[in-house]
Amino acid sequence: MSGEILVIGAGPAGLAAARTAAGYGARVVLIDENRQAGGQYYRHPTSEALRTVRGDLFDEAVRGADLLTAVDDTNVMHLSGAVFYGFFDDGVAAFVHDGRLIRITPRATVVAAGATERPMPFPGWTLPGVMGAGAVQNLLKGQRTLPGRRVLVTGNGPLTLLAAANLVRCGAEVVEVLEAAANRPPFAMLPRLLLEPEMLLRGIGYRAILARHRVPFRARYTIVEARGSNRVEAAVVAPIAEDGAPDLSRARTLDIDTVIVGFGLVPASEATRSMGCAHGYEAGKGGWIPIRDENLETSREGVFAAGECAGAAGVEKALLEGELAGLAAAMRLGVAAGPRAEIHRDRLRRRLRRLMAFRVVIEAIYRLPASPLLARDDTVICRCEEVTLAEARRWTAEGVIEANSLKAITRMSMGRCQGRNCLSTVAQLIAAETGRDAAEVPLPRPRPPLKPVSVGALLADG
Amino acid sequence: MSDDLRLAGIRGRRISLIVDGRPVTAFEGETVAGVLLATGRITSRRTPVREEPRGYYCGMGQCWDCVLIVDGRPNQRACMTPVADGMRVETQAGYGPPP
Repeated sequence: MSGEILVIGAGPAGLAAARTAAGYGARVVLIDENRQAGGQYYRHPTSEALRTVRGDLFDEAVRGADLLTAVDDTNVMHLSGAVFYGFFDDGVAAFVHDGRLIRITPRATVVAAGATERPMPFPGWTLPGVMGAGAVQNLLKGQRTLPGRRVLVTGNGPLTLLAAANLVRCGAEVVEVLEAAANRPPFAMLPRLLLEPEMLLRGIGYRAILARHRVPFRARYTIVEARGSNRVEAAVVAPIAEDGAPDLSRARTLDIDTVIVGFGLVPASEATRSMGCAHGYEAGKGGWIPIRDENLETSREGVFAAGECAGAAGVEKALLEGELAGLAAAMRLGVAAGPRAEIHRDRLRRRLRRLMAFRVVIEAIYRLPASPLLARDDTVICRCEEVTLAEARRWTAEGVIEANSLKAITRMSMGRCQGRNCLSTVAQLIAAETGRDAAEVPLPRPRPPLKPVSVGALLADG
Repeated sequence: MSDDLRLAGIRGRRISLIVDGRPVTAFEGETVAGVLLATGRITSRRTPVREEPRGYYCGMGQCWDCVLIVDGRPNQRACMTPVADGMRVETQAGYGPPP
């Protein structure tokens, strides 16, 4: 298999990178685990018939239709169902596709791995019927199915609001929408909102949908517990006090059958961390992200990072960064050069700078003084290995204050999700116990395979 | 379609799954998770240690909480598995039966 540029992830950033690089004449191998290109944002049903079900409500696939044709470019080899395995020191990239391990040696790599939901453990968060904001979006967009009948939506950030608005439009009874932050833009920043009027209007539109359906939206409010025996049956909610902790004296119980939780996104840095790229901690961008130059190249030569995996900030940034990374990779190969490429590059950089000036306001609106710790002693914080908060704290109290050591002792983050649903909690816990900042708690370096693959696939080394 | 959670509309070719021994109607293009949620079957498995129920959680193939047994193979993610006519789906206990 030959390919000059490897693009990991076929979401908005990866598609934009592949299309741009291919447009300049580079040969691209585009890998993604899903059966369809589009990632989470442009997710749409695989069946033509299913796409017609309430097709009026979901225009993501329509808006992405042009971009989705990138996979038809003769310079792009799109491999769906491909799981990235690892990147090795000799420049070999490996992935599992069609039950076999495949190795290629790309001249440039664009990592566009996306993001995962920020885990927020609270009592009852593992009960069936409690799911992520991204999970419900995929259920609505990809399956045209509701998660339940009476729904509580709780979390922090614009995606939670979007999920609530989509649920309402699909006919679910949304009981309440809870936003942990104060949800007010700082006065001095208000003019910046006008930098991106279209995005501003979209946000206002979601609130209007909730208002029209008389769905209460409460700022500085959160779930504190989900209750039920075999599935969620009720939720306890409470306002957040000045110190950032929920005020349990004012807790209420809601009768619901589904809880949607969305406390923002964590950049999927597993691939770039496993490659040894240098990372920095940026709370407003979701945590650890690869450090990049103005061409979006990481500290590892020839490895670019674009989109949510390099800072969670929405689809518009992902599209622009994907295009810039694809262009920069093509320039590295020499297929893109001269004034045309340079003008293109400068235009993208200018557009990105304006967008990020707007995003600063969004970050401020949703900033939390402190991430609430809602877990209790007996709450499972590592869903795979079933490790509770009390077990983790037993070891931190004994001086185990590095994520790597805590992992080795408790098995936290060793399970099938490879830490995607617990590492940020582990880091938060260590930071709280030691009085450090999250930026001072390094995460363990991920090792191949970054996701479970079958032994059979490794034996069928092709 | 009012007795399940599918949005109203014509969903295309109707197929049939066997879920824990019982026939369940599904439609082409759905995932196993989509069918289970639509029909109120929200528990995919019980965990190995605490034997707690788990189900659809991240919906994008990264949490592995919705794994179950598909055509005899354990640990298959319901959210990433497209349905097929005659597919046998079983809820999973612990790590599932050895292959």
